[in-house]
Amino acid sequence: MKKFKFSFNLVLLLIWAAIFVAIAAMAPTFLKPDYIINTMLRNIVEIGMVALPMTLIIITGGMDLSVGSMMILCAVFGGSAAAAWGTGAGVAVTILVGLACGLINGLIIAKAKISEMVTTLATMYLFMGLSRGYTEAGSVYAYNFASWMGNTEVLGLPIQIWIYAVLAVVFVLLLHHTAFGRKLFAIGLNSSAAKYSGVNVEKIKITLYVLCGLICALASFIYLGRFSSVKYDSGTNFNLKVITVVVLGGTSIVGGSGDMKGTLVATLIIATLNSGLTVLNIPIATQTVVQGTVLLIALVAFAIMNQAKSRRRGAPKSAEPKSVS
Amino acid sequence: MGETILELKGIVKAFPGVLALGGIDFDLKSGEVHAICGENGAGKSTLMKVVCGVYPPDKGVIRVNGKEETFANPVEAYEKGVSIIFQETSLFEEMTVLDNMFLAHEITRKAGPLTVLDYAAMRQKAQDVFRRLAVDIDLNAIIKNLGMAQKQMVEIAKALTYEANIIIFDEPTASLTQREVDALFRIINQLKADGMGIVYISHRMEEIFQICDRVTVIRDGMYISTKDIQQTNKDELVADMVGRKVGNYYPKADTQIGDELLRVEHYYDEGFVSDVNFTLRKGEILGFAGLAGAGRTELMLSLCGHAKKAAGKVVLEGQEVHIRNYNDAMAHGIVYVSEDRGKYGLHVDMSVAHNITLPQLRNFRKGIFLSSKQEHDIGEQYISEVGIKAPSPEFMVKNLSGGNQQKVSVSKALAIKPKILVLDEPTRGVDVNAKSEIHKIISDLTLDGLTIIMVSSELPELLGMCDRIYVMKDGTIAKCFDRSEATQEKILSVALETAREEKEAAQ
Amino acid sequence: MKHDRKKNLTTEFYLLVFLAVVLVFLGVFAKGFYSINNIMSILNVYSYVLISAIGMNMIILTGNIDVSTGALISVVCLVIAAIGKLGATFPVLLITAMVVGMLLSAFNAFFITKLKIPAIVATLATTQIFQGSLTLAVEGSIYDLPATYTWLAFKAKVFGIIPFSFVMCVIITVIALLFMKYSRFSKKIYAVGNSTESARLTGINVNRTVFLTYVIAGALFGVSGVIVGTAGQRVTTTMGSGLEMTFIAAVVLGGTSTAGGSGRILGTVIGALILASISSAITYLGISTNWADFIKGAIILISVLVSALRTVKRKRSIPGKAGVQAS
Repeated sequence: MKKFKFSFNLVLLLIWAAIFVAIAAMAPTFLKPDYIINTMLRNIVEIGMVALPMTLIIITGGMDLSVGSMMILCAVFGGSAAAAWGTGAGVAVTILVGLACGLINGLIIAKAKISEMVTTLATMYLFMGLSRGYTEAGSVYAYNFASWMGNTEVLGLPIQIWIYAVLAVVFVLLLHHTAFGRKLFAIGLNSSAAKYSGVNVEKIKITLYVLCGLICALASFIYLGRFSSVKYDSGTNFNLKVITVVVLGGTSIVGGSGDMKGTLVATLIIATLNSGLTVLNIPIATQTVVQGTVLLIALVAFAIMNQAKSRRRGAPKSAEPKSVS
Repeated sequence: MGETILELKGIVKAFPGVLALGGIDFDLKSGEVHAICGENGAGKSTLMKVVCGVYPPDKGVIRVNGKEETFANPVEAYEKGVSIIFQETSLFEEMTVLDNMFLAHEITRKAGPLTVLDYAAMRQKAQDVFRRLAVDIDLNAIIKNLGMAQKQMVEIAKALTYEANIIIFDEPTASLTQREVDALFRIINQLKADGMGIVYISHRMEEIFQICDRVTVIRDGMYISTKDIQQTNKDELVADMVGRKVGNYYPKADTQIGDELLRVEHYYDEGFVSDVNFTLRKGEILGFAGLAGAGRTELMLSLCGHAKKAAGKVVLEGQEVHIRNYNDAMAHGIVYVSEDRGKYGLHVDMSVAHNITLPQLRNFRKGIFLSSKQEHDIGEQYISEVGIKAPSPEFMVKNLSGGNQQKVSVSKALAIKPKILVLDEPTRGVDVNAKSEIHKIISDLTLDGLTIIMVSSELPELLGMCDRIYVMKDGTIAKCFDRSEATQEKILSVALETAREEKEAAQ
Repeated sequence: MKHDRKKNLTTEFYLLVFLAVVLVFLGVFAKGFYSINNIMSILNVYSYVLISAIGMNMIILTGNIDVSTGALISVVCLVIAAIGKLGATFPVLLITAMVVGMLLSAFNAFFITKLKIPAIVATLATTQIFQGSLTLAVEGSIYDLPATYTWLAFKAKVFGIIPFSFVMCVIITVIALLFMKYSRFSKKIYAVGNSTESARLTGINVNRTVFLTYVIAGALFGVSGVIVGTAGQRVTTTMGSGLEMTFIAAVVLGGTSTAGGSGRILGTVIGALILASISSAITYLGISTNWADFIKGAIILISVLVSALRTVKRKRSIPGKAGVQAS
């Protein structure tokens, strides 16, 4: 099993290298450090950041479709608060909105037992609608803290890349080396057995969605700073991009298995693909299609792999005696 | 009694690790009610599921109305005249009675070029069937709003809409009141008079003598006997069910039984158990016997904090304790090992070590991180102590045999260092050798000062291992036997005794 | 037993009461809401919402969902605009739209049934593909469409006033009501939504049922696409964006469980009318249309919560159901 995981990440790395080399061969500007840092890496940070908690959520068998709307709502309320009461208020409001949105998702999912998909689909519309209604479909502008998060360089790299790197390390450790991470796998593999082992499934689920809201809030600073203004619909399809990264990284869409390092490599692949398509002057629309296609191919590949695996395992589950009396 | 309409010859069915049926013969004539009885786990339900195409048989011949058949699914069986009425009904909860009765074999009519459902005809046929059964159920009612007895009537009616001439009832009275049972028996007699053949699976003696013509006993998946009901009696049947096993060796150790460790008073969990009182002494193995549905598992789950609304007094080592969730139970040293390993007990897709450490991950950390070395070590420790046949602690549980999986399940509990270990059907689904190994482990544990509660449906196991045995019935404790006085016959007769009038009054 | 029937009626009954309250409220507070023009415009909106919501209802009844409907309708709009520009008449447009809808919906169903990808994820991905391909194929919009193209929106009036789209909607609704009552297929839809495992044991081909349901729904999305797409002389690439949310809201509001297996077309008929009225009312109440998304999101969430709480209550009243199985 260990060996398999290792080789899977290796395959991902090879895919990344192949794409990278191919694009570099076609467009030499691609290789400029400035392009790599300021276009390829800088543009993926928000997606990469949110993919971290999303990996955790998908491993438990859940899903958060509302991430894009949450991020924009944080930026909208934070930006408005900053404009009215100053930077401090902006930062505080952004964080609070992220936590509140995550808590709403978590409570509905864990307590009312409504499916993750339906809950976050509804809140996705709800949060986006709130941004739209509140801003009257207008723009919200960056304030000094957000601009700083989006445009500062530290030791030669944009600050958001540092933030992402730190978060990435934290999440790898969290998933693969802590009790919390182990419990996530346990929930995804068999949530009743996890409950019977004393794992507080409800509490962990709520924690995860709140954590996701918090990371969305963090990402919203960077996003607002980078674009200097946002509109309510700026987050459209953000959820899909994040899910694509997670699924491409080898996390099973039905939960129970996954690897944070895979998510990191997948982030790199998507970053390369996006910036590569840009440098090759391929229109944004193609990138959208590519995005959807990559997600579907990843899903199909894993579906086929799983089918092959369960066939090898022999008898289907239903053939086991449930109660022999 | 007419000609033979259902004949089974040498039916063999094995599941991974267990031989569920080892060559069963059976025959059913038209116009008779033929009982199949045996203890829990004897293979009664499995046999009927094989007949109906839920499981394919590994070996053997099924002859229905003179023709050899193998059914791929219950619908094919229905179409050939064999209907089964499961313990758990297989009706579609959100659909109406009428839709359920005719699903996948609706009556249609032509309306111009279209084929449309003929509700009038279906209604007519349903009413005919209901009239024949003398029941009155609204055809437009939604299944989920019906009671258990009514659902069963709908299942029977559905079987009759298929023109079935063989109906199999799998423990039909398990959740019925006496009045409902009477109604059911009236219907069974009616069907019998109409020349149908009925297979009646049950282990309730008085029902078998009340309604059946012949009775076939199976034990441990083997055919034992077939007798005319007039020529047998309860004692003879119980003896057949229980068997006179020789050479059954239970390695019970002589332990010093100490003072009272746990006392449970007036314990109550709505819908499952009511007014349960029992005591547990240090160092003993306490058995809980009873029929399926008697409330043993539910009682243990409630005691371990898995029920939200349980009430009653629980005194542990002289102090009243309040166990709200499983973590509370573990903190008090009470640990539960589930009867259903795959569903509740283990994570089969995780390694042996990771299963063992899951309930108490905080104890396997170095700083804030999990220590794979500590996890590996405890895995190694239990692999050697409990004798799990796994190449390494990192081995996936799903690749182990049933017996070894059960050992992992027990290890997981032992690693918590419990005071009281609750074992629910500890040897279900494991083969004979692993069974005696597990018994040995249990026995050794008491030598180490552990106290054990053992829920089991296998009476020899309880008799061989336990110091005292409580018999549960209808959610409460019916009787307590001491090791010296307990026999299979005594326990069975307490467990089987009718207490329906009480149940009736309670409702 | 009479008791049960009463319980079944209540979902639709409450919806009707709610609808009546909404309509009275609007009569009092929304000036001009009951003008003939507005009512006709509501009927037009109602038509395309309900036609698609019927399709969405069938999909949700099987326990699946489709969030690509908005993008799918955008594709339909552009395809018919392209042939409309060449002078195609309404029947040709309608048939083309239905065929395109069926094909795209079958594409969705392929991933869901054959490859076992959760419906919501599969349709999210196809949303991208539909939307992206559109922008690739068309630069901005198709405009200056001929009068033959906009016939449905401007010329097709029954008695000179009632939009023909509404007539189509009534016909389709009646067919759908009959279909759900009198076809064998409809029983399979409910059975699959109740329990795929039991359905399989009953001999129902689950994959085939789900696939056909998507295809039927696709045809209905196509019809909606015609109404949406022929409303003006210009068709952009985002004609259908966000419509899926209105459809899902109508279905959920109509009492269909998102878990599948329970819900009726009649509920959707009322749910769609409530939504169509509210969308229109927002303007008349002086609320900015920018709040429309929020209101719809809130409606979905509240209806789902209410139905979940009702289920929880019902479950509690049956002891023994929620517990662990006896040994």
